[in-house]
Amino acid sequence: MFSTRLEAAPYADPWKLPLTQRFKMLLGGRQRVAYFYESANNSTFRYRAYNMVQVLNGQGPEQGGDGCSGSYFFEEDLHYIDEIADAADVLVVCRSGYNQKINQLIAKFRIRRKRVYFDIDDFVFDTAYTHLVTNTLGLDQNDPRVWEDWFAMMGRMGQTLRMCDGAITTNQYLADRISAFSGLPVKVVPNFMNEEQLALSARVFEEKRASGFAGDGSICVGYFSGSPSHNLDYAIIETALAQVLERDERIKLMVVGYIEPGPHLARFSDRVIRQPFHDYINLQGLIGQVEFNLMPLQANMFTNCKSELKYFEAAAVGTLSIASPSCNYAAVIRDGENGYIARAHQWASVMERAIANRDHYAAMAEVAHADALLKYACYNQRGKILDALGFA
Amino acid sequence: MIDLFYKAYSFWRRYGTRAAIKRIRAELGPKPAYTPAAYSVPVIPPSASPRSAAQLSQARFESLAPLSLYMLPASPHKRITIVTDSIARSSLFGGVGTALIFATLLANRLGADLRVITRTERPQPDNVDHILSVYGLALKGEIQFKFLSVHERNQSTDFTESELFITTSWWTTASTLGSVPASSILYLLQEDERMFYPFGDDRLRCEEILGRRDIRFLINTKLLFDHLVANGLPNIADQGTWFEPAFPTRVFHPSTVKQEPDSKRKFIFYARPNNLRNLFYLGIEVIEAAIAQHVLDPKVWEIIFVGKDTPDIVFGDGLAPTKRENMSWSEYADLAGTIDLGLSLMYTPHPSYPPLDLAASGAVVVTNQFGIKQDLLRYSANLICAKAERDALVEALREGVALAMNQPLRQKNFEGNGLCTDWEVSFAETIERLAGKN
Repeated sequence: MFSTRLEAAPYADPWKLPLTQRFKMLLGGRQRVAYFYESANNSTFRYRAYNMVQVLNGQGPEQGGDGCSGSYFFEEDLHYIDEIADAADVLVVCRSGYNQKINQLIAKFRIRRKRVYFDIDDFVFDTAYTHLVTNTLGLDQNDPRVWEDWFAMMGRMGQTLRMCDGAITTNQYLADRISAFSGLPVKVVPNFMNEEQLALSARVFEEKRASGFAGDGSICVGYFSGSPSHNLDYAIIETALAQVLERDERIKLMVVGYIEPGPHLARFSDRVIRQPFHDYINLQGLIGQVEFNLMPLQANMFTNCKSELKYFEAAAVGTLSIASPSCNYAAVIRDGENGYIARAHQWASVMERAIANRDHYAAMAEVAHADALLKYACYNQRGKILDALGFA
Repeated sequence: MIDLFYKAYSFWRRYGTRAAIKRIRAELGPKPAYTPAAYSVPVIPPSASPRSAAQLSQARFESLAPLSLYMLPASPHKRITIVTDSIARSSLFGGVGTALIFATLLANRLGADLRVITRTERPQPDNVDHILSVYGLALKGEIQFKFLSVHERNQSTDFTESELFITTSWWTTASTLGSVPASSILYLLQEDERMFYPFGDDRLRCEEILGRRDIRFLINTKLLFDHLVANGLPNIADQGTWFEPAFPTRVFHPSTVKQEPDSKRKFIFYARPNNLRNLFYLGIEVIEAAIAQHVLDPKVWEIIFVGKDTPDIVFGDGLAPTKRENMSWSEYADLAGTIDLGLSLMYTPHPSYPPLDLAASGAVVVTNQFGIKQDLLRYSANLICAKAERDALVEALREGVALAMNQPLRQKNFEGNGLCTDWEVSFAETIERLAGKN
C-alpha cells in the first residue's frame, strides 16, 4: 500500500456558479455552446457538461483561441430559455429524459435553425434493452415500479435523442448502439479528466514516482464504486478476493463507496479498509494509495458501453488497473503493459500474477500514466469536442 | 458453508418452517448404520392443503422447470451457454470438464463469449481457470457465470434466439427446452442416462428427452453413440455426432520420477460407493479375492483407493488401502502417472474416463465389459476388459499384473495407444460443422 503525505483537499463543487456568471461564460466566444443537464451532479454532468465547458473556455472563463465558448444550464434556469437560445449557437442536451421543458428547449433552438445534439454516456435509451439494464443492475424484477420507472426513463431518453440532429457519446461501441437506434450521426468525445483532477493527480503521481513506487510492505487492492448499482459487478470478484486474501497475508482490500465487502470476506475484516463515498478530487488521493484498482464488469451489451474512466483516473495517480475484458477496457488496457485483463474465471490468478509482477510495477505505472495523460487529459480534448459540435 | 446456508434458506422459503426443521433434524441427527446408496425417490414435503396435479409434478421434478430466461433482440455478439448442475471441483472430473473444454474451443472458433449457468451450486469461477490452465487452453473472449437455482426462481438472465446452449444432462436439457428454441440446443450426452434410474417416471422422462428429434446431440465416444442408436434411439443417428475424448500428454503421461528399486508397485481402485455404476462392492470383492489368491501381493503392491466417500476398509489380515480423495485435477493426473495397475469399473457402455486416464498415463487397467463394450483395444492394448464377475475380473487382474511387470510389452502397448491426445483434434469436425451453421 502506498502512503502519501497529501492531506485531504478542501472541496466545493466548482460548477456551483450563479446563472449570471454562467451566462457570461457563454457569451465569451463567437461560437457558443450551451450544455443542458437537469441538475448538476458529480458524475455524468461533470464529465459530459462541466468538463466540456472547461475545455471550450480554455483556462477559466476566458474564451479559447478559436473563438468558441460554452456554459452549462439546468432545468431551474429555463425561465431564461429565450436568452440562452438567442445567445448560443449550439445546444447539447446531456442525458435528459423527454418532458415538456425538454421539448420546449429543443424547439427554441430548432426554430432558430440552430443545431441540437444529445450527449449520453450509457446504453439507457432503447427500451428493447430495459430488461437487460434492470437485470444487470440487480433491480428487483418482481417490483412493478422497476418496470414503470425504467421503461419510462429509457423511453423518455430515447425520445429526446430522436428529437436531436446528432449525438455525442463516450465511445465507439455506444456510438454504434445510438446510431442503430436513432439513425442519427454520432461523434465520440471520451470522458476525460479536468484541470482540478489532473492537478491533484499529478501531486500524487510525483510523490509515488519520487519514492520509486515503494509501498509499506502490504499490497492493497481497491474497489471504487461510484454508485450502488454495481453489486453484481463486484460479485464477480468476491470469491476471488477471498482466495487471494486467504493465500497471501500481505494483501489488503480497500472498498470505497456504496459496496458491502460481502459474506465471503467477513473473516478478513481486519484486512478490509472501508471508505465512504468521496468527492472526485480527493478520491484521486485514495485511488493513489492502492496498488491495484479492480474493475470487474458483467459482460453484456449494457456494460460494454461503459467508458474507460476508471482506468485513466487510476493511471493518472500511478495505480494499475485489473479489468474485465469489456469492449472499452480491453481496447485501452494491454495486459502486462499498462494494466491487466482478467476474465471472470481468472480474477484470483490474475491478481496473483500482478502481485508477483511487482518488480515491473513502476515501469507499467509510467506507461499507464503517459497513456492516460495523452488520451484523457482535458488539454488534449479540444479538437475532438469542436469536431463533435461541427466546428472543426 | 455459505452454499449450505443458502440451501437451508431456499428450502425454508419453499417448504416452510415445519418442513425445514424436519429436514435439519434429519440432516444433523444420527444416521442409520447403513444407508443404501441407491437411487432414491425425492421426498415431496407435506402440504397443509391438497395440491393440484401440476403442483405435485412440479414439486417432484423441480429441476425440470424452465430456466428463467428473458429474450433480447438479436445481438452482434456471439455467446455460447453451458447449462450444468455445478462446476464445483468434484464435478469437473469427467463430463463437466469435457463440456467446458468443448465450449471453450467452440467459443474461440466462433469468436464468441462463454456463459456458464449452474443449477444446484453457485459457480466457482476459479475451478474453470484451473481446468483450462491444466489443459493449456485459453478462452479468447469473456466468460459469464450465472446461478439459476432449481430451488429459487428469483434470478433470471438473458438470451437471444441465435444463441447456442450446450446442455449436459437430460434434466438440464429439459429445463432449457422450456425457455429457448429446440434448435438452439446441443445436448452433450456422455452416458446412457436412462441407466441412472429404475423403470419409472424419471426414466420415462429421460427417454423422452433422449428420443427428441428437434435437438442436436454430441455423444462422448463412438461406443456410446453406437449403443444409443442400437438401443431405441435411432434419432441420435440422424441428429447426433460423436467425438473421442482427448488425453493430452501435458496432463497424462508416465511419471518422470524414477521409482526406488525396492519401492512397492502402485495399484489403484476407482472407488465411488455412491456412484452405483462404478460397482464399488464388486470391486472390493475382486480386490479381496485377488489378495487372497496372491494375485495382488501386499508386499509388492500398494493398494490406493481414489474416489469419494469411501468407507474405511481392511483387506485380508488388516491391510488398509491408502485413500486419496478431493484431489485437484492436476494432483489426480500426477498420481495417475505413478500407477502401474488399475481397477476401474463402469456398469454402462461408456468406457468412462478413469481407465483411459490411466492408460494414457502408462498404466495397465482392468475394467468390465457391458453390452457392446467388449474390449477397449482401440484405445490401448494396456486396457483389459473382462466380464463384470468377480472371478473373471480376478483373472483379468492376474493378466494385468503380468503385463504391468512386463515393462517392455507395457511400454510397447503404451506407445501404440490409440487415444487422442489433443482436444482440438477431438472436437475439430464437430466445431467446424457448428461454425458453418453459426
